[in-house]
Amino acid sequence: MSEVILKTTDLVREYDLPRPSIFSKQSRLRVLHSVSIELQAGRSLGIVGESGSGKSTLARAVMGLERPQSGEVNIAGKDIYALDRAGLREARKGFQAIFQDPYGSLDPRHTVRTIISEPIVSLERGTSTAERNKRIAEVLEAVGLPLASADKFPHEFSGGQRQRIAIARALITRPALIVADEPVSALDVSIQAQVLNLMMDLQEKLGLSYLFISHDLGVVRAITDRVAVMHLGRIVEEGPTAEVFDNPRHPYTQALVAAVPKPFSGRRKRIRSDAPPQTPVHTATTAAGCAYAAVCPMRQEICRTRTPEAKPVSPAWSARCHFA
Amino acid sequence: MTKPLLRMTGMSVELTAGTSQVDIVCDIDLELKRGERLGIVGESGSGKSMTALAVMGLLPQRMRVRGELSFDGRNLAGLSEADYCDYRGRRMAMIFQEPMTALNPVKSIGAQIAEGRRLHLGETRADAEKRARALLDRVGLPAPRFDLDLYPHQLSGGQRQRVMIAMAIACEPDLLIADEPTTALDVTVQAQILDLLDELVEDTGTALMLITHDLGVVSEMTDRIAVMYAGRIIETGRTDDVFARMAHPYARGLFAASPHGAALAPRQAGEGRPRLNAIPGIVPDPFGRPPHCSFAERCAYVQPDCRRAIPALDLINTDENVEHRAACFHPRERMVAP
Repeated sequence: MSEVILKTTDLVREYDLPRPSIFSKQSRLRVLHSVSIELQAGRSLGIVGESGSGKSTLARAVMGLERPQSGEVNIAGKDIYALDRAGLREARKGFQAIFQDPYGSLDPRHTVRTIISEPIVSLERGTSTAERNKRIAEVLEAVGLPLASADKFPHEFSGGQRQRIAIARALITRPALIVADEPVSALDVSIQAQVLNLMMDLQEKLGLSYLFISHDLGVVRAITDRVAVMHLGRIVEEGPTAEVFDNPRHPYTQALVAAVPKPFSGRRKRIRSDAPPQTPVHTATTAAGCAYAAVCPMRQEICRTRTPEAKPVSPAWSARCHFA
Repeated sequence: MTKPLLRMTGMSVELTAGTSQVDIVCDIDLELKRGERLGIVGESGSGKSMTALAVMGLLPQRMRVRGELSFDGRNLAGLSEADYCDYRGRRMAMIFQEPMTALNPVKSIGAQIAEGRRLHLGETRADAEKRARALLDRVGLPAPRFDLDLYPHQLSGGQRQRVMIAMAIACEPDLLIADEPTTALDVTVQAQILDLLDELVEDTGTALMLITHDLGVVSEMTDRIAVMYAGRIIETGRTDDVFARMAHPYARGLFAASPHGAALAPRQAGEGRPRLNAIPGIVPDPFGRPPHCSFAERCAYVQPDCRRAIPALDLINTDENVEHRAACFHPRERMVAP
């Protein structure tokens, strides 16, 4: 068993709902329901789910950007929400983020040099200029961009190259953990493959760990070792990526996998249902019962009355369903 | 009914920028009959959306159509805006990619759906709204939950896309163009929308032109496909045939690079994770397209003659009267698995 780089324990994050009147009681929307994940050093964990499932909230909580109401985020053995400002600044060197939009996440008025050296400027004060230039050259080489690109502006690059710049910025503090929130969804297929390959190369070379968030099951399958499927703020299934996608045990995972159109599958087979399609929504309360029960094809009476626990399918694989 | 509804012969879209002119889309030959489903596949910058906009007469000001573009026997190139309005929305309609921005936020969905019928068919407000109600039911937004008085911001992404589809089919168009209709949606919602489109095409017999970059979507939805790269069609034919053969190296590369292809590739035992088969390099800029095969710089099978001329769209095979053509001097022979 290798070292655990990231561990969250019973993470709960709630947002305040608008109050109908100033005298009414404050109600809250629970977006993360006791989320616990664990990531081994040098491995990658994928988080998949639809929009609104809380995957980006989880990423923000892990990055220390949104304090959860309860629960802990341990990165390399330190609870990041228990640290003071100086301690957090020190710890931030160990984890960095890559965001989805390669156009919006780089300041258009800064040169690439300024953009990628920003983490060392703010987190490692007192680094000499020579050292800084050396580090810039190092990361640019690592992501496969020519050294001359340091003095260009973001608009001079294509989407794939910009995402390489974002990766360079994340790497410059030599982090152990990278949180990637939909890093390739805005890119074309052929460019997407280039960036994913780069991320895999870097992982092997630098021993990085990835928390990889995506709605694209194919991409997650290509880059992660383990996957956690999120539905309405709960992890409904977690296990080794290939096994979970080949033989999903939770009905929600089954629905997700079945919904992906595949080449060579011939003409579409329509799923005829008489009931109007409905989408389950977050509930303000933590009501008993399974959150997926409303649309689940295999629901039983027990699904409405008892909240399912995570049931082990195999030692490394669990599903939160009464019938898994 | 064998006469094609839409015919493009040597159609190009010309962009004037300053003193220079370039063809954003060159030499497109396409035909589409009623009830047929055509998929157009390509990456961003391949000209697939511009082809659709050219048909709809919605090209940006600086662009112009050259060559033949005819709809139901009438040449659309150079048609006046007033004449175009008789076609757009009535005979052909388009579903756009972004359901968030393509709807008018200050008009109720009922008014937006009824607008086309009132304008094109001269229906009264009451009749058109009755029809709008039926259309909303048709696309799976039943009363009373989905009232005509709702505004777009009260709906989710998938629901808005359903409203867009209702608007597009309001006047029972002969041609429906869907430009990346499901790209902004989650997979389960995407499945619902694709089911709906499939059902509509079957029931109404409209022609469908589906533009997408998702090979899974085209494979499940279309009869014929055209793969575009750098403004040209590089491979076209029956969907099954194109997928089985993938004669053009770009078509093959695009498939191998997609995670679908990676899932099919055998996993090697041993150290390390299998890499995706990325296509090196980037799509050439429209202003810097080479005078020879535009894929030559990125192609793994490039030969000296690839850098001499632009390959024509040559016949490879004919299956059920549909020609399978590819624009490559050295088309790949071996079939792709499975």
